Amino acid sequence: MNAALPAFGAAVRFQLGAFRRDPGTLLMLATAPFSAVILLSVTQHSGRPDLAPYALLAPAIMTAMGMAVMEAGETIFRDRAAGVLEALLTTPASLAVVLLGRISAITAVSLVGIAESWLVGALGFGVVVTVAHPLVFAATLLATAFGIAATGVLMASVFVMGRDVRSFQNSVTFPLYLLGGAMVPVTLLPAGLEALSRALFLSWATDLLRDSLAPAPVDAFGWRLAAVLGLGAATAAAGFGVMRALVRRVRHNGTVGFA
Amino acid sequence: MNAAAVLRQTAWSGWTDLRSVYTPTNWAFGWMVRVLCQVVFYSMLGTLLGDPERTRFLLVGAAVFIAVNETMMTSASTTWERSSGTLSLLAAAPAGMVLVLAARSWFWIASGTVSASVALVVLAPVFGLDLGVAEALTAVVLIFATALTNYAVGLCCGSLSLRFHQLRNVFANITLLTMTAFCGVMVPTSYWPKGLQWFAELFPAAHGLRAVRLALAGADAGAVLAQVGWAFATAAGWLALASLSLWWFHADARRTGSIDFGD
Repeated sequence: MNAALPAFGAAVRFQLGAFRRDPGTLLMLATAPFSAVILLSVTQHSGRPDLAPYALLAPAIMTAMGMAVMEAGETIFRDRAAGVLEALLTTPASLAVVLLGRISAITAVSLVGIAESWLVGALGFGVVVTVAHPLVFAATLLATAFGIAATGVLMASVFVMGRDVRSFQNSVTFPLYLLGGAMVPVTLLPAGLEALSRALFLSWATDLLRDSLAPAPVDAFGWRLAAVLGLGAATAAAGFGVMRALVRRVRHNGTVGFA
Repeated sequence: MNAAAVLRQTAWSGWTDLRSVYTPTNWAFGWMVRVLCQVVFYSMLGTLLGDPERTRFLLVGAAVFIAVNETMMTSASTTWERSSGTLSLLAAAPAGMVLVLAARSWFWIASGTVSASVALVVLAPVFGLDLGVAEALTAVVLIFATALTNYAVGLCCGSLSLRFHQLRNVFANITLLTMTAFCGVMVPTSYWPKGLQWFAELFPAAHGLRAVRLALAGADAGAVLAQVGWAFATAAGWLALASLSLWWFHADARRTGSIDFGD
């Protein structure tokens, strides 16, 4: 743990510097307002202003999850191409901790998407979404950010395997948005898919975030927040476990640099 | 080397690119899973609204725009010559780079047509869209026309990506999202202010999608073909712009010797 904290801090600082050096990595923050326009136009055109909070929350969630997954993959591939991955594995710092630091920084920055979405609603459509339960919203948002960072670590650990899995990097976002109920609550999914979605922290998180915006009292907040945190922790544990196993494997095979 | 021979070689190069991008496994279990989830994601908005007509509108828009999405990847693949180190060789070759770069990404038209068509045909019964064989075949042809004409837009973004390599994903993504927002994918173009409606008409995909919607609604062939005509007319403009931009990049890179230093 003594080595973990400095490594985590250094990884956070490095990632923030990477954003400055390569603004292209912030692409999803540039696309978030467009997603907000697209989704909000549907609810407004249909005469359903009551669904505006759904349409403005979804782009923020999609931005945060999308950035974590995409940048998790890019981090591994860029480090491998630059020969950094091999060097990193020779240091005492755990690769999983370094990645958690980098992806935590990415997730923290990606939360700017919430402000972007809100501004699109307010300035573009005259729709001002208020947060009826600010404490519930803040606590759920923190738990969601933790789950998103954990998902990023899990994805990155799979990408350590090699370039064959890179083709799947582009493919995981929309299944996650759909099963995570980013826009449409998972209760509207077919029964089988709904059951599957309940294994993802994101489906609990998006339900709770939407409820925190509505004036009605939030039911079973404690249990639902525990579900978000518990499933997020399970995702993090899976990420650390897979990372340990795969790092051992690429070390054993000698394929760290060119897997 | 004449243009036909250059195009033949370029077509072969594109074919090998396609085989490196997609294997049958990652296409079926990676890309197509994403495509189907993306189309379901947007179609489910109609379910949320409790409006079957809106659901079908969203399904057609989201499915057809998979072809647009994939042809926008032309922007990234136009720059692959740089990463493979062949850009400077192309600049030096007597055939020049404009024709090669303009044709090298043709495979996105093919794969985009297939992905979008599969999504539409597979998901139509799920979301209550009655699609007969004749209608499905017509839709596939019109999706191909949409992909073919939007290729010119992707190429235009690609020509900019060659110049501004760090922003290569930004041009294509912003253009794609602009089209998704304003070209009648999620809401009719008439929803937007007049200026934005005219702006949307500049994109071939707006006309291609409208042609698909008209055909599925049983409109007469003249109205459908008129939209296809507009798609090709606007695509010609984008192609001219892309060729000019590629030619400018070529000339400028040769003059300044900066062709391999775009990063």
